[in-house]
Formats: sequence, structure tokens, C-alpha cells
Amino acid sequence: MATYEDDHNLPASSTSLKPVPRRPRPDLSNFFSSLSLDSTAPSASTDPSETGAQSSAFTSLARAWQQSIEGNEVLESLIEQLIEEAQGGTAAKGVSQEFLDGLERIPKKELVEADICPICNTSFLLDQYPLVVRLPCHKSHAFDLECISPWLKLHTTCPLDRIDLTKKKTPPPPPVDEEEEDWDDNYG
Amino acid sequence: MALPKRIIKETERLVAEPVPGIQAVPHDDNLRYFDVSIHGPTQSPYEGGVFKLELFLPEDYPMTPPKIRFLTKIYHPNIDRLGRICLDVLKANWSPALQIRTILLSIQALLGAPNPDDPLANDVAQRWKEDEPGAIATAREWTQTHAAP
Repeated sequence: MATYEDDHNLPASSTSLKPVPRRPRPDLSNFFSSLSLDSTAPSASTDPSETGAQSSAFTSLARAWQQSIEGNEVLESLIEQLIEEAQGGTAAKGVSQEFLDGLERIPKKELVEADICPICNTSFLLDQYPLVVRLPCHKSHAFDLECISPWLKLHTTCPLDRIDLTKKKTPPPPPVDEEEEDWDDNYG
Repeated sequence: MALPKRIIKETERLVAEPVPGIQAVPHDDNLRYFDVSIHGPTQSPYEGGVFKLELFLPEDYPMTPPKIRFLTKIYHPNIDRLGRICLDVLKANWSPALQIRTILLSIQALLGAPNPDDPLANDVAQRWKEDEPGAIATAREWTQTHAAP
């Protein structure tokens, strides 16, 4: 069974363990060495060279901060991704593998050039060995198995009419959109 | 990373057969990021305005919806001050059979038919319900001020 990543030409494991590019850690050694320069120079507060050293020290501190802020962005996106994954884990799951396996197959000889998969928008017959399934909601609702599988593993609805394909067995609660309640009323 | 064929086909079609009043141009350096402009529908308070939006196709598109946001300021009960759009097909009612063009058409339709009963911008929605002519006048003003082509 092809994975979702295979189906979409994604590098393996892109949805699970995404390697986050490692940013260089902020290097404070320059800053501290310029600081020590300052502390070892007694009564040098009027020395212009010391001011230069201080300013370069602060510049390197600023650079270090910039780097660490960039690092935070990566961290933020990682946290966001983890939260998303955590929420996805508790959300209503899609159909079972048995359901996918049991979907009606459409033989190649019944397909014509104009029949396209609504998900990839490509003619089924472009594939020499098309593996096309029909959803039980309507006879015209045909999809490449490799296109519909990733959807149905996470949802139980037909992409074309949103009919719940599992309704006869166990009706799952309708998806609740909670995001809208968190809106910001400082608008305007 | 290879761009899924579907995204390439959608982009080609958007360029070859653009939707009237809608433009979507992918960035050269990121083909998942589009600069979008939508013309305000005629007979709406947004008529005559050109609204800029940004659209991003996440990695798992089309299994998840595109992320879209208005960049141009707009006075609309379903669009908040950050440009976020309250539209069912962008959230719970997303389907992989929908496309960039169908979504942009839905947004254009939303401009023509504001829905203050399902608000994202509560104060705008409230005003829309209490003083519709006033709210429409404000929307028209904002269009002239912020969305002049």
C-alpha cells in the first residue's frame, strides 16, 4: 500500500518526523571576549577605542539575538506542527482499511478518456494500469484509489457531495469548528 | 521537493483560463505561494475595488485546504482585521475536489453576499445587522480608501 507521501511525491516521513533545519546557535564568545577587554581596562571610560570595543560587542550581541529569534521561528513552527498532530490524533478518524479494500473497483474497459479523477484532475486512462474505485454514494463518484485513500483515512465523507459514507453504521458527530470562537474582538 | 502534478495543472489553468475578476500568480521562488487579487463584485459595496490576498498551498494540499488571507483592508462581517476569512469551505467543509479557482470564486461570492449571522468580525457583523445602510456605506468608503486599483 503506497503511503500518503508516495502518493504526493513527498519525501518520506515529511508529515511525521520533519527534520527541522538546524540553525547555528548564537555565538556569544565574541561578545564576552570584548566584554572582558572592557573590564580589564581600568579608568578607560573616556577612551574612544573602548567605546568602539563596546559598540562592536553590542553589535555581536544583536547578531546573536537575531539568530536566536530565527531559531524561535523554527521552534514555533515545530510546536504548531506538534499541536496540529496532537489534535489530529483526537479528531474523528476516517474509514477503516477494510472499507477502502471493499470499495467497488471500476475495470479499465469501462473508463473513457474524459473520465478524470476529481482529486488529481488527471484522466484515469493516463495511467496504464488505473486503479479506480467508486464510492457508494453515487455511481459517478469515481476516484483513483491512491487519491481517495489519504482523504478517507482522515475523513468519512465523499469529496464531491460530502455524504458520510459510514452513516449507516455509526454516525460520527459532525465536525465542530471551534476556531471561530477564538476570534479577536479588537477589530476596527 | 517535486511539486504535485495537480498543483502544476491548477496553476497552468489559472494562467491560461483565468476566472473573470480574479488573478492568481505564483511566486517564482515558491510555487505554493500565490499573489491573488479579486475585483469587488458589481452591485456590492466592494465594487470598483481590487483586493489583494495571499494564498498558500500547505504541504498536504489538497488533503487540507489552502491558507488564504486578505492583505487589503476590508470592512466585511466575515473577514477580520487580520484579513482572516470565515468561510466554511476553507475549514470544516473543505474537500479535495475543490480547487484554488473554486475557492477564490467562493471568496468573491462572499464579498457579494456578506453573512452577518456567521461573523468573524463581530463588531462589523453587529453593525451590519443594526444599521445595514451605515455598514454598507463604511464598506464602500473603505473600498475607496484601501482598495483603489
